[in-house]
Amino acid sequence: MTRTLALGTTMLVALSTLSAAVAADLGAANEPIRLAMLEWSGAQISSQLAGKVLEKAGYKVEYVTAGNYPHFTGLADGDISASVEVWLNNVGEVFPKVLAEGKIEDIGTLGLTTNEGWIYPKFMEDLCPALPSWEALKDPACVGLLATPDTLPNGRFLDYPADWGSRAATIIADNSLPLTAVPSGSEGAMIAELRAAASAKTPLVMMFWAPHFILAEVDVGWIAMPPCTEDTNEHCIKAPDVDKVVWSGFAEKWPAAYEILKAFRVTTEDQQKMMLALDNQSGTLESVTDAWVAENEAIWKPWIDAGVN
Amino acid sequence: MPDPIAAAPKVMLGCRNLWKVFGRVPGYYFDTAGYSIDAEALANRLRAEGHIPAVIDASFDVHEGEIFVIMGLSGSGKSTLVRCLSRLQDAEHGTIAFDGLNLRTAGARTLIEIRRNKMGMVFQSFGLLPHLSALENVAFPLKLQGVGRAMREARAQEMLDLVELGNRAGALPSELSGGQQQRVGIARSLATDPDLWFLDEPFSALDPLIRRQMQDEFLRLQRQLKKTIVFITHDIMEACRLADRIALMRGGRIIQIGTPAQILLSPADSYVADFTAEVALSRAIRVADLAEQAEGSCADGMPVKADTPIEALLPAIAEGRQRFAVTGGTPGAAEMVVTAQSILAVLRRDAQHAALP
Amino acid sequence: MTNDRRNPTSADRLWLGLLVLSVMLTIAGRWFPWLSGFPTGWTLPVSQWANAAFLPIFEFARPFGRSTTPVIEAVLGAIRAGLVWIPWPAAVLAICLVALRACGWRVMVLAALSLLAVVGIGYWAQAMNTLALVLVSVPTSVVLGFGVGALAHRLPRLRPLIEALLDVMQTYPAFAYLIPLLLLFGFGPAAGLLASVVFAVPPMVRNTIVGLGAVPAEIIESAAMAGARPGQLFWQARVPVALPQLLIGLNQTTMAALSMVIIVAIIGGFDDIGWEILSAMRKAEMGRSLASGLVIVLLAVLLDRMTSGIARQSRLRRAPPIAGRNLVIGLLLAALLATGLKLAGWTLLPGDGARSLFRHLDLWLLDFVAWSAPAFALLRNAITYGLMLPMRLGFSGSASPMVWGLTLTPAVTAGYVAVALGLVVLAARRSPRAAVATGFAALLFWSGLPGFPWTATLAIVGAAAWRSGGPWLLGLAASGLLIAGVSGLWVPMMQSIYLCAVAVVICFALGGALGIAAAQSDRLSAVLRPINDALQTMPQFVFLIPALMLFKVGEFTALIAIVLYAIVPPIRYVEHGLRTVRPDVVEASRQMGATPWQMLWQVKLPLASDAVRLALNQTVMAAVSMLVIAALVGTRELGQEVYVALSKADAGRGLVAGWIIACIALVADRVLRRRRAPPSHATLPEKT
Repeated sequence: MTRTLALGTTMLVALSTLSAAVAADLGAANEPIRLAMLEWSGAQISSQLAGKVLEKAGYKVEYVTAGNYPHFTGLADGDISASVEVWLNNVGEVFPKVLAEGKIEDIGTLGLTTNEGWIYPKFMEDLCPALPSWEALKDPACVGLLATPDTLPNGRFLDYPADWGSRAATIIADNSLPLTAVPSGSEGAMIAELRAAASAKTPLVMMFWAPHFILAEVDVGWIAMPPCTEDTNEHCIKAPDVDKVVWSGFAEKWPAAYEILKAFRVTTEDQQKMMLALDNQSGTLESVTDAWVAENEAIWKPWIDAGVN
Repeated sequence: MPDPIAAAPKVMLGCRNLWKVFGRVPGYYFDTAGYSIDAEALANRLRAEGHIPAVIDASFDVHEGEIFVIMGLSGSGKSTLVRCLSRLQDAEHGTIAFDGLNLRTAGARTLIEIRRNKMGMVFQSFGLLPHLSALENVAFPLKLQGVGRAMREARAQEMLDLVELGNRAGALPSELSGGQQQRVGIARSLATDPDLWFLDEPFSALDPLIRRQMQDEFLRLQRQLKKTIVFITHDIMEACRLADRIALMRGGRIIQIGTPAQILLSPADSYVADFTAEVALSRAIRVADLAEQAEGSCADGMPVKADTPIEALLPAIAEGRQRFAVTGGTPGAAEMVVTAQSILAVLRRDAQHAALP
Repeated sequence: MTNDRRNPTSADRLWLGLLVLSVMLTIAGRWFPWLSGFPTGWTLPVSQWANAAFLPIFEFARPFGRSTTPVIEAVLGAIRAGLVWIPWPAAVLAICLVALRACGWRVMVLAALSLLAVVGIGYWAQAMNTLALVLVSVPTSVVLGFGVGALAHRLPRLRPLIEALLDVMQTYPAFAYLIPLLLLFGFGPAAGLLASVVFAVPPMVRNTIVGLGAVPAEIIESAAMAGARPGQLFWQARVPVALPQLLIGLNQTTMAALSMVIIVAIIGGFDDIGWEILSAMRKAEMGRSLASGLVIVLLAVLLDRMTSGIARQSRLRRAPPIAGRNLVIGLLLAALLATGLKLAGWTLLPGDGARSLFRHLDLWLLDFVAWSAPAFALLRNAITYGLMLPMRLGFSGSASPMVWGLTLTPAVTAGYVAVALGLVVLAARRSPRAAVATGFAALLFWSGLPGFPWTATLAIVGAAAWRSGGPWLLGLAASGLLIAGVSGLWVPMMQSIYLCAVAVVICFALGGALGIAAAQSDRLSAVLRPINDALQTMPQFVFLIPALMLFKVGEFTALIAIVLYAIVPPIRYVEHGLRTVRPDVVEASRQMGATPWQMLWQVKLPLASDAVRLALNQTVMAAVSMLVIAALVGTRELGQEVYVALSKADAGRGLVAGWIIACIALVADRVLRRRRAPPSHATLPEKT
């Protein structure tokens, strides 16, 4: 069996895209598959969904709560078996390294429709009528609303935390906008500010991404971005890819699970619905994901059928 | 004057040329095999070179069954000396003969055996283990030797009864008064029935009244147990009350050894004289100290016990009595008397001291 | 210039010299910029060197580390499984019985109430998981700490080395050594647990050293004279006598471990309170983070009272309020209850009712933010313009029409110099020291802390370090400063110092005033005490969210978070210092006719100066320890550098930034602890 598996690993990669006819062993089904539970609710939902589907296929699943950056180290070591919602625009420096070394494997998109860019609370359109055009950020009256003691005479732009890189600052410089990018320190800080700004009607422009549960709570507008000066990640913001990543030994150890995860998809609409339910406390992570699994057998059954024959 | 105890004494602890030096390289100065040491010169050299000679060339014998008091002011080296004798500190030079071996160089194993069976020690601030009850404290030395619980507690209870503390066996040290704590300390040091008993200022931490009681208690115990005792004190009154012999220390040196009467009546130098000036001789000198051979002449006063303070004879002397027969001396010795003349001579010295500015 | 009653001391002359030097360097910096800002060209790849030096060691030690990981995780897993399995009524009953046995009725009632509160809040399972972490971390720390402490006691020569190591362990930000721990022990709770052990060991070591050393010589001598062998002397005399102190160590170690278990969640814990707090922080849910913070506080208070209760009982040796046999019967009943509940399948856990309450809390906060935004904006602007900008940019940097209503013309500069000189002369009439202090203040106000010439900073810190700690401390200070310089972290470092300095000033002004007030009023003191307890045991993350909502991302919010945490020592120590002033002196002063005001300023505060100094020291340490946490609300200082290193999994970079933070803390601690006393290494003669 070991031999077939060893042989299978490379073949599976090639074959799995072909058809659902490819069958695979369950592999070490009595050893639990350890799925990463990352900090944000979207990833937790995706993880739970993947786990529940794997359980339906006859696997044991454990959830390992982990921070986004450190968890790549765990993936590379096999301490974590798979992580199903990896935002490729925010992976730190470990990810590319271990990916290049072949310690982890990217098994394709999760299927989320994403967005990334500059947002503002909707009420600002009354204050800066030129919004959502980026030209509004050149208007001194509008910039004056954004100014704070720290940034005078420029307007304040809330950037990603410093450890996520500062692409906004680059783009501000590219377009000579009268803004100063202030790093936000953490995701929580960004959400807190967005909430406070919407509630107290204080102007704010910030970097953000979708899907995100806060967007169901706060009405925001997306700024139509200035044209890119260069078509690189640094100078140009595009909707990021969200992929599933597994430990390099995954396919060999749990061949069928590998196939299932490859086929696994979550739609933005579904995820957002569940996030909203979590956010307003109308359900727990357990209950909303259970409900999804119960209602969508038509979606996940083919994944299992394709993986396990 | 005759010394009844020194008649045929068996030496229990013999100390010769003992040195204890604090400093950086104390051992360096005693690497002098075969040479005789000039004590005064060496002490001066040590001081000049940043060392502190705490005990200088101490030599004395402690006889079986006697109370040997080492007395001196604080810093005189008396506590260091007793710590060297008990090997709580290591002396640099000299010999301490005990039980047929040189205690100064005894190995760790031998030392533990000696301490377990032949030595006891009482400390100034009691040194009781605060987490153990009085009974457990007294039983502690036996526990260390592996004596079974029932046996060691029976023995400890016996010891507590001996110091009249049998009813407080369950009390923690913190629940006992200072005097009671020291009784526990005494009981503990006696639990292993040692031959040699060190007491390092045992009563100094106590109130004067309690101290007096404890001294009486101690003398009572000693009459009963007849241990060989090395007793440290800075209190000349205490020394005179308790001692068979006193060694007086100053600046690390023993400057005089003798019975209390010898020290009081013929001080070796002016320092000792000053030191003893405070003592009321009429109370400290006993009849036995002044006793002389009867030589036929008969007593006209009442017979007196040997350990009576001479003070007690003053009324009789005032009535004109001249000679008193001494009783309770060494059995079989010649008949002794004490004369009013010798008593008055002592009192005259007392009066001179009192008149001094 | 000097008052004849107050001649300048040698220290005054030194500081005067340094002031003159600083002024000259500030002026010279206009023409020779390398004197003023740390030259950008002077960089060395320090973090790469650190990586080159440490990574092979980590690589080498990795197999050993990885082989212990399963052991730790197995133990943790077993304890966790046990704690989670037990139904809560049985667990509460058992814990209450133990509390009753060990500490008495009051602690039992406290245990019952706080555990029921945890159940009510809805975090029972999470609390048990956190407890499992503590139950692994604390025994490990206690055994290690006792061993190291006993070694240090045994070999006094090692003591300075061990104590220096302990200082570093307590001041090094945990986030900075997470990466090496991950490398060594792999991904999972083991690495986080060991991080908490690193932080929790030092109090145990210190208390062991103190406890073993404080055993009276006579007790040891008496045991030796009773014929104790060396082992018996240690285990039957020294350790039992030191036990109360060792139990204080246990108490402090438990609190330290608990404060660090949050960290475990960052690198992969499980469903524990730390995780809950982090998730709440990430989603900016104040209600939830407050509730989970409250659970930590309840656990902390309970563990604190229980461990200190055990320590107290060991001293008093009272008969326990419940006999051993009854305790056993009670525990058996608890076990029976557990089995019964399990068989019946009842968890009896309340639903998520409490959680929707947290949600309401968030909505109230949002309403409050909307309602109070103008007022808080005013406060923020006042402190930013009045205190933070001058200290960050200095007058020279912030003189613009918008801030000061003027621009920096030569005339303005001349005016500033004239005013500064005037103030210095005025201060000189009081004392030389006041003059020098005024001079420094004027210079700092001119250049701002980060803009202060690095050469002058080096000289001043070096002189202060030398005076209070000799060459050892000078070396430490210089290593911190120069490493910061050559790694290009000079400005972040000065930003850190600036942030801490502003926070300490505010803490002292506010906290000192509160402490003085609390010393006068028992009622205020009673109100402040639980608030102080909560502020100190609340996970530091919890302060961030409300501060963020009110004050936006940025330094000011970081400042508020630091102040919230670091304000406790001045309140506590100032109150304690004032309350413990010798009553005879107070009576004498009252008899001399001192007014209450004079009494406070001329009698009580000077007499309490030791407590005030200690308060300053503790405030600075608390402020520095908050730096890394505060970076989560967006700062540009060393704390941020630690996060960047964590995200890049760059061990060297994190270690370097951490080392600089530890240096700041250590040097500040030493300089503030004994400013007057010369370094002394008094060696006590060790008695057998």
